[in-house]
Amino acid sequence: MRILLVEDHPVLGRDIKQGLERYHYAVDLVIDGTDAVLLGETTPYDLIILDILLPGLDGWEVCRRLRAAHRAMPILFLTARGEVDDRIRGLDLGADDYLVKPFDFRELEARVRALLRRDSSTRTSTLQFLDLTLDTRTQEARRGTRVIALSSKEYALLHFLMSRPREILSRTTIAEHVWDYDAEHLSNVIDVYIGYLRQKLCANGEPEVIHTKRGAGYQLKEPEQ
Amino acid sequence: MKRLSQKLWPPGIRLQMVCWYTAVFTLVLLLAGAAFYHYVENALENSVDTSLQIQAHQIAAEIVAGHDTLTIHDATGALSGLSGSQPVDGPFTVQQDTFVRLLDAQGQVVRETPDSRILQIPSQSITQALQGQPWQGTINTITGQEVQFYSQAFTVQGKPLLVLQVGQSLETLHALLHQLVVLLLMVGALALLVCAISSFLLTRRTFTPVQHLMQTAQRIKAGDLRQRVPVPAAQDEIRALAVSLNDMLDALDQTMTRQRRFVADASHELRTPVAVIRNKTSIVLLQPQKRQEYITVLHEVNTEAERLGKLISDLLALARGDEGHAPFERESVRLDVLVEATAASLQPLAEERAVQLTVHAEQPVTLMGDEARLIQVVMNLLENALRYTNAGGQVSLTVQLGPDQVQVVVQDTGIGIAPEHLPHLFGRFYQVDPARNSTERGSHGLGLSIVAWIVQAHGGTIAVTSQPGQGSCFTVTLPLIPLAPTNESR
Repeated sequence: MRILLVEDHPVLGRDIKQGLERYHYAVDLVIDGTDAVLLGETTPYDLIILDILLPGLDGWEVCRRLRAAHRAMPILFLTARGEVDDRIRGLDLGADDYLVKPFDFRELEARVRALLRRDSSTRTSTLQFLDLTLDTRTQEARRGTRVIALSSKEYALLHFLMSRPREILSRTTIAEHVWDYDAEHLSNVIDVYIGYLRQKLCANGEPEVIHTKRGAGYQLKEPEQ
Repeated sequence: MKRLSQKLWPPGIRLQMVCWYTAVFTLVLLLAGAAFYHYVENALENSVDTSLQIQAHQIAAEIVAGHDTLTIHDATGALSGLSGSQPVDGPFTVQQDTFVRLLDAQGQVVRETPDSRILQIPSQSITQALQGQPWQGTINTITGQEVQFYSQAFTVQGKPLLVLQVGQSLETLHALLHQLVVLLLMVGALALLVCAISSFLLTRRTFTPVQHLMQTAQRIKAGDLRQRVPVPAAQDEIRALAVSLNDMLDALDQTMTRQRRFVADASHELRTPVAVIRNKTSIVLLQPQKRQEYITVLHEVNTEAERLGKLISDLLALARGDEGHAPFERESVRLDVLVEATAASLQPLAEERAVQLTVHAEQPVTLMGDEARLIQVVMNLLENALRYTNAGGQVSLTVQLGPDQVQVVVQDTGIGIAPEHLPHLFGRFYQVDPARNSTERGSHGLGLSIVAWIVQAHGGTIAVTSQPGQGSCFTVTLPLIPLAPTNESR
C-alpha cells in the first residue's frame, strides 16, 4: 500500500515515514504543497497524509485541488490545528479523517489501516481470500493454520494482492502501489517477488492462488481445477 | 561624482586594506607624538624650576645682611638695578622676562624688579616660605601670561631674615612647544601620506596574481572549459587557489562532457522507439486496413512503448544514482534463493529463445544488501546472456562462496565480445556493434551500467572475459558482511 506523506517538519516527516515503512507501507515524503498536488495527481496513492501549514500551497488547497481533479484516495489531515472549525473545514473539503498533533503513532497507524480497508468488502483488520488470511494488525499471514513468515516486500505485495482479489494487476500497477518513488523503476523485479510469494504460499503443496496472466500481469484467484 | 562614490562604496578589499594600514599607522603616530610632546614639556618645565632655584641661591649669596641694612654685590650682573647705592625701595632692573622680589620677615616688599607689579602673587608663597618650606608654582600676570615662580626664606641664626622670590616667564617655552607640535604634525602627515601610497602599491602588487586568475576565470566563463588558469611556481596561497580552481575545472569539464554525451545518447535512444512508432502508425493510417492489421500494429506500438518506458525508468534510476538520491536498503538477502527465483522468472524467455538456462547454487549464501537491486543485477546479466546467445546455446549461472565474499558467475555460449569493446562495456549507452540496431536484441545499452553501479554501491566488483564466437563470462564479486540475526526469514 502506497502512501503520500506531506509534512514539512524535517524530523517529524522522516520519523512518520520510517514508522510507516516498518509496517511495510511504501511511503513518499514531500515537504511542499505544490509537489504534493503534482504527485497526488500523477501517482495512484492508496492514502494521503496531509499537514495543513505547508510551504507552497497549504493542506486545504492541496485537498481541494486533488478532489477537484477527481482523485478519490482517502485523505487524512494531520495537523496541530485542532479547532472544531478547522476540523469541519478539512472534512468539508473532502478529507476522510482528521488527527490532531500531538498524536500517538499507534493511533495514526490504526487510522491508516482503517482508511485503507474502507473500500474493501471486509471492514475488519483481517483480509481473507479462501484459506489465506492476512492480519494487518499483527502483520501475520496464514495459509489455513500454517503461519507464513514474510519479508517486508513480500508482505506489501501480498497485502496489495489481497486488497484487490480477482483483479488483473499489471506489473506497473503493482509497482506503483508496493514500491515508493525511489524504487518504482524496479518494476521488472516483481516477477521474482511473485515467485518468492508463490513458493511460500504453496510450501506444503497447497494449490496456486497467484496466477500469471501473460502480457497482462497477475491475479489473485481461485485455483484452477 | 555619483559614479565615483559607487566605485568606492562598498570599499573593495584593496581600499579596505589601505584604510586599515593608514588607520593603524595614524594611531601609532598619534600615541608616539603625544608621548614625545609630554616628555619634552616635562623636561623643559623641570629645567626652568632648576634654573630658578639656582638663580635664587646666587642672588642670596650676593646679599649681605647687616643690622637693618642690606648690601648687594652684583657679582652675577643679574641684579644690575639692585646696587647698594640706590634707595632700598628704588626700582631695579634684571634680565628680560625675569622677576625678582625681596621681602622682609614681615612680608613687606623691600625691593623688586619693576615688572613684578603685574604679577598676581598668592599670599601662600610668602607664608609657606616663612615657615621654612620653599614654594614653587605657576602663576599668572594680569595680562594672562604664565610665569614659573619660586619663593624661599633665608634665615640667620634660625630667624627668618628675608624672603627672596624669583620668577621666569614661560612664554619662550610655550613658543618652543608650539613649534614642536607644528613640526610633529607636518612630519606625521607626510609619514601617513607615504604609508597610504605605499600600502596602495603593495596591495596592488599582492593582488596581481589574483587578478590574473580572475581574468582567466572570466575567459572560461565565456564557455571554454578546457582552459586552465596559470599555476605560479611559488608554493603559496595563490598557487593553492590556482590548483584548486584547476581541479574544479577538471571535474566540471569531465562532468559536462559526460553529461553532453549522455544527453546525446539518451535522446538518440529515445528517438528510435518514437520513430518506429510514428513510422508504423503513419503507414497504417495511409489507407483503411483490416481489423487484424490494426491489432498487429497496436501490438507493435505497445511493445515499443514498453521499451520506451523501461528506458525512461533506467535513465531515471541512473540519474538518481548520480545525484546520490538513490537510497539502498540494507537487508539480509539469501543470494542462492534470489538467483534461483530470478532464473525461474526468466525461464520463459530462455524457452522462447531455445537456450538452456542452468543454475548452480547449492550452498546457502546470506549477505547484507538491497534485495530488489540485487535481483536487478542478476536479471540484467541473465537477460543479456540470453539475448546474445543463439538458439541451442547454453547459459549457466553459478554462485561460488568464498571465505569473505561471494561470486556470481554468468557464463554463456553466445556470440562473445571483441577485446577492444571490453573496457567500455559498462559505460552508458555503449553499443558493441554500432551498425546493429539495438532493437534487434531488445537492449538499449544502459543495463550493464546499471549493473556496475549497483555492484559498486554494494562494495563489489564486476569483471568480464570473452572470446568472440565462443561466449562471454561475467563475474560479480560481492563482499559478505557479517550478518546480524533478523526476524525476516527467507
